[in-house]
Amino acid sequence: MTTMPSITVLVPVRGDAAYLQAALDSLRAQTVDGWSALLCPLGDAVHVAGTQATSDPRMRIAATQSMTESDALAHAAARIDSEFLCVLDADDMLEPTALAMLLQALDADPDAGMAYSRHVLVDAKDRMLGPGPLCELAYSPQALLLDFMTGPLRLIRTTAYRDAGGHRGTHPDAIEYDLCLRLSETAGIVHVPRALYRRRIHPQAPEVARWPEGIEGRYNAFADAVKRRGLDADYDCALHIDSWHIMQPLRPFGGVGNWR
Amino acid sequence: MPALISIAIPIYNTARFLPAALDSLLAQNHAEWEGLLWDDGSTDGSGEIATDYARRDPRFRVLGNGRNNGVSAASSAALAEARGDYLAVLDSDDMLEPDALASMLDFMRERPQLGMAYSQYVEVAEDGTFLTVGKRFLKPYSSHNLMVDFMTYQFRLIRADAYRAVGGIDAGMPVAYDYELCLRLSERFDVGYLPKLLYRYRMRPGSISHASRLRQVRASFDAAQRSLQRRGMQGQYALSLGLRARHVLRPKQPDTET
Repeated sequence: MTTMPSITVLVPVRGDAAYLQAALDSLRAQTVDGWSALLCPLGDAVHVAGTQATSDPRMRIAATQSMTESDALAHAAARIDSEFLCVLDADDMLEPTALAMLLQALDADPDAGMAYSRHVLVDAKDRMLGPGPLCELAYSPQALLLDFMTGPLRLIRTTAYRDAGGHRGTHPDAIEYDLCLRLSETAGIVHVPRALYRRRIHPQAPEVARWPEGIEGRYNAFADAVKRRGLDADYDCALHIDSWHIMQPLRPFGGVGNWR
Repeated sequence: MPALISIAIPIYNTARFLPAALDSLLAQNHAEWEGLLWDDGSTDGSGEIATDYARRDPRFRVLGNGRNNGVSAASSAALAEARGDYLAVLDSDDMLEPDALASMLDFMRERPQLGMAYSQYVEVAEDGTFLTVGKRFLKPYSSHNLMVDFMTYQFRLIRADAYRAVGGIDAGMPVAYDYELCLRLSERFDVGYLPKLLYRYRMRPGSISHASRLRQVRASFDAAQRSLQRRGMQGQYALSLGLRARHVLRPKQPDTET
């Protein structure tokens, strides 16, 4: 009899969590068993999380209530005993084979500490906006300094997560990038070139509401990584910003086949 | 009868460059203009330079309340004092070509349906030497394209009645107020393009911080979003912001000091 690997899916829950039901439904639709979800409510979101989680024994609510996402994830991750962990944002959705394919990638490469996939962007009404930015760029620890291509869906071995120091609040608007940079310095990372995650873009989403802070946060995390790696003796850091507006006709949600 | 053109010149600590800007106005071959010199609380002697020019030529008027309220508030306040039939803004570190006013005026008078017209520009270094021809005007203008690209860059001449009809510059927008004004003008008036180099834009490297640049990007995008809604197009089109923030590692330069 084979033992199913155990996965803890951490779900940070902010505000009114309008899309949480869809996020949890996408988890229930996974083709693998062996997962459990730990909902991590921020501030007042504890009541919202409670109403969604109580009906499913695989879903629990973190005991510690936190005010920041980094604190919530760090506290929750410190108490898990599963072999793997991943983060599912309460606005987003997994494709049904997401966990299975990332597990397969880590099984095939025992030295890897993390596997990540491509993703697509959808709007508040599930309409497709396009492929996720950067996720098709080739990964290397050096390339990650310049472009954040490793996400947003990542399956991480818990040991690798802890070796890298886990989620930290040093750069509150760039906690996932900061974590990935540290992981890339201590563990192997593999890429699954399939769109396994739907990231929802809506006005309240952090990457929309706080994108300038996100850019500054990622830049500061990059500058920290340059120092950790001892590159600051030979290199100066800089940030170049280019922007443009894109106008597209709206079209109904048509699946993610084009980007797989 | 020659039309009067009112030029707002918001001034804040640009003493190094202000004489060149004001001299470029004095050199215009269209003489019917008024220069609205709004000193926005300068502390580097710019106010004295403005006063000196006004003493020498009555077409200049020095305005301002001694406080620093920001460039959009200064431009808006200056244009509220305008007596001209046409309006423009000259940044206090930039320069006009000698035929800028005459060329733009002729162009707009031949096309009375226009509420605004814009020209080409060149970029110059801090010391005024030519760097390159500007690129913004290479994108073709249409009212809809303006929501995607800011091609109606300097030099702009605006009919005074059109400016007032759309409510003028939004003095509450610290950045991107010029783009936002162009969007509102383009929703109600025709806009013309004169393919002629009439403006020198001075590039001042390091004069804008990361945070300021990001504020400008956000304000421009928000302005385009509001324009999409005013046009009732939000049900058919999604406007999104493309953004590339590149982390750069530059090899350190060897120390050249001996």
